[in-house]
Amino acid sequence: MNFTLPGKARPFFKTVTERTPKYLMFDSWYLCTLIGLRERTLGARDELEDEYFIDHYPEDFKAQADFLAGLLIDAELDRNRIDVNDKASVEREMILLLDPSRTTGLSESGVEILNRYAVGGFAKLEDAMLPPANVEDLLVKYAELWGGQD
Amino acid sequence: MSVALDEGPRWTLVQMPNGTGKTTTMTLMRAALTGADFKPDEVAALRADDDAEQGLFELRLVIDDKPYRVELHLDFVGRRASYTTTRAQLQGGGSEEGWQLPPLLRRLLTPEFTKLFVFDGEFAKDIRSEGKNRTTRAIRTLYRLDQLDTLKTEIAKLVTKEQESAAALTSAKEQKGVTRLANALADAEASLAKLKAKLKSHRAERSRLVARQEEIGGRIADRTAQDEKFAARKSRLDGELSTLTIRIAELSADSLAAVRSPAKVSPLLLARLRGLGQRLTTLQLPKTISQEFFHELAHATHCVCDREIGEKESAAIVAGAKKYLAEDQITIINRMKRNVRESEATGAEFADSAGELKAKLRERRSVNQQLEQLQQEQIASGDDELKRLVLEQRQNELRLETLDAEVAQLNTSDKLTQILEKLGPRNNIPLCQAEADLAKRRLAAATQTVKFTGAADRISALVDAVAAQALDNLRESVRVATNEKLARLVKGEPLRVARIGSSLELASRGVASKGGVSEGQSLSVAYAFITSLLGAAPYRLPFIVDSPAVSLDTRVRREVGDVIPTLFEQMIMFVISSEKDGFADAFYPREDVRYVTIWQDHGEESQMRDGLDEFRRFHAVEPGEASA
Repeated sequence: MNFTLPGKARPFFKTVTERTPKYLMFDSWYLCTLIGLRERTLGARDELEDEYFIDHYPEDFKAQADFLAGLLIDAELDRNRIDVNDKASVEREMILLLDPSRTTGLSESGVEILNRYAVGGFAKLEDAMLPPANVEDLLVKYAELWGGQD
Repeated sequence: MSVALDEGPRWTLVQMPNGTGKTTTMTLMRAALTGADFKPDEVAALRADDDAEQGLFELRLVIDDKPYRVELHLDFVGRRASYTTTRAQLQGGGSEEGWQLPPLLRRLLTPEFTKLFVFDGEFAKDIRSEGKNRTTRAIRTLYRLDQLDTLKTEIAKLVTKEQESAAALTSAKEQKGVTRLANALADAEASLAKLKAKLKSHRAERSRLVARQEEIGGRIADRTAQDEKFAARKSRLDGELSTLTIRIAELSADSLAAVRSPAKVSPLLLARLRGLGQRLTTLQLPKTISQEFFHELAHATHCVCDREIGEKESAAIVAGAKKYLAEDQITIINRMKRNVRESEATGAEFADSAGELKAKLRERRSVNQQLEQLQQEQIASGDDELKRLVLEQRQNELRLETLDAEVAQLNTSDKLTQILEKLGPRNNIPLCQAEADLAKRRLAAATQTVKFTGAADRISALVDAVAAQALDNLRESVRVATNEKLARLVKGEPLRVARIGSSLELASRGVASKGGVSEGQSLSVAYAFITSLLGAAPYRLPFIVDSPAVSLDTRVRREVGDVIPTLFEQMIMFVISSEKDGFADAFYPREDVRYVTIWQDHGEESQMRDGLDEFRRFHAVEPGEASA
């Protein structure tokens, strides 16, 4: 599976995507995923769009690939209640989520789980804000979502 | 017993007393010619005596100068019958299972048709029975008119195929269905034209409004500039707005860049990443030993501990290697740990940038409010023109918003937007276009189907007309030929066929058109009909008949005996001794006649003699006759 948007994300971010050339479709997926990873909330697979929108990290995100992999491993260890002192279990989880032969460095299963974190994150986002009219409003509201999380 | 009748004589007369198997032979001949199935009790009825376990009937044929042999095997114990066919075409002339005469003959030799030339006496009666339709069926079969039915079946199959291939698009098979689809297409195209016109009109209106807004903006600026009291304030606020707009753009770009780095989004995420790195370091992960090490080890002959590695050990090592990270997986994890460790991010970058962005956006709103306030003050000071311009500007803004929303609705091809905004073919151009395209394809398919079906109907009707006309012509030609023969067979009697319909209808003075004829007359009519029928047919068939003259009086027998021999290329006649007078003796002066006499002696053994002398001499006592 490649990067796939939550079913309702495209219309939600439609205005920002259309009006802001520098704003990428991947930004929408990423903003949702980050919230999902924070919350450790997986959404349902059938709430994803039928088709993926990209199969690799866009240029602006390539440097973040290892961080996303790290956040995924951290979230999955926690969500699956894996004993972080059990070396074999931690290693097994990493083997499951990583696949260096793919351009993303993530396994098929790893990307699918990230997509489902995006679904979980979008639900939070949708609760917290109306579809943004411009990228500035989106960034300000998104920052507010992270306020008080320290 | 074997009786060979294939050695060339044109006429073969087989004299057999009643009860010696003439009817059985005829039945078996018909079966061998048609490949008829036998029921168990029919097989049992053919058993000569209780000692017989098997029976064999062999029919040798020459078809288009090629020899064929059909064998009918009778298993009296299992009460089963089966066929084998030997053909010259087969390699080595071998036999094959089943009844395998040429396909053309297989279609011709129906049980009913075979009764015409392996003559069944019942036919003579049925030929004049209403309802049985034997005459018409015989003509249809012999002259292959049934092939026209096959043609119609093929046409029907093509129509079905055409309709099935169109069924994916439309179920319309008739003109009214085509009309319905044409109306649907017209509706869709009318809607599409309407929507496109609406889009064009909206775009034109939008262009006008945008131009007008620019004009209004300029005129408002002019009016403010003209009033010294407001000009300075306006200039200052415009400057602030410009500065803010530039800063907001910068902060927007900074915030977007910051949010794209998880380590800069939140201290929480940064802490999690660092925590993971530390945990992996504590666990000594990734291990310095990788999957690749074990794969190499599995292929070595000895372990590092010097123990020998056999197949079993090798398989166990390969299986165990899956528990270890691959070298490139180790690289990813090490890189992640290093990036986190070396990252200078604080986790507050995005919050800081977005916080300043929020403040600047608030400032911009404030400046915009001040500009509005300024405008209101100017209007309050009595500038009605400005009031009118501002009002128009706001109305235009609202209208532009509405137009933009409607243009987006008309134009969007995004499936999710179409679903969420409940768009359909009546308010969305791509959906309407798709509907029109589908309607067009459906109409094309239905039109083609209906056209095809119509053409097929016309061809079928033509085939029916041809078949009916051909049947009429054939009936008439057979009728005329039949009457010519009847005139020769029953001289002096006005026995004639008036019409060949579902039966032979006779017309004669003193004889009712149906019934009222003697058995001999019936037989004469049947012979005349059959010889006329077969005589002009595209096939040359033998004529095999059982007791051909037994029911004819002596005068008619002689006529039949004189006429019949000339009608067929090959004739095989089973006769009883009483038929010699007046019938068989008509053949005595002819050449190319074979005479066979078959009887059972007192020990019930079958005996056979060839030759005219034995034929003439033989006299059996038939039931009802006094012993000679």
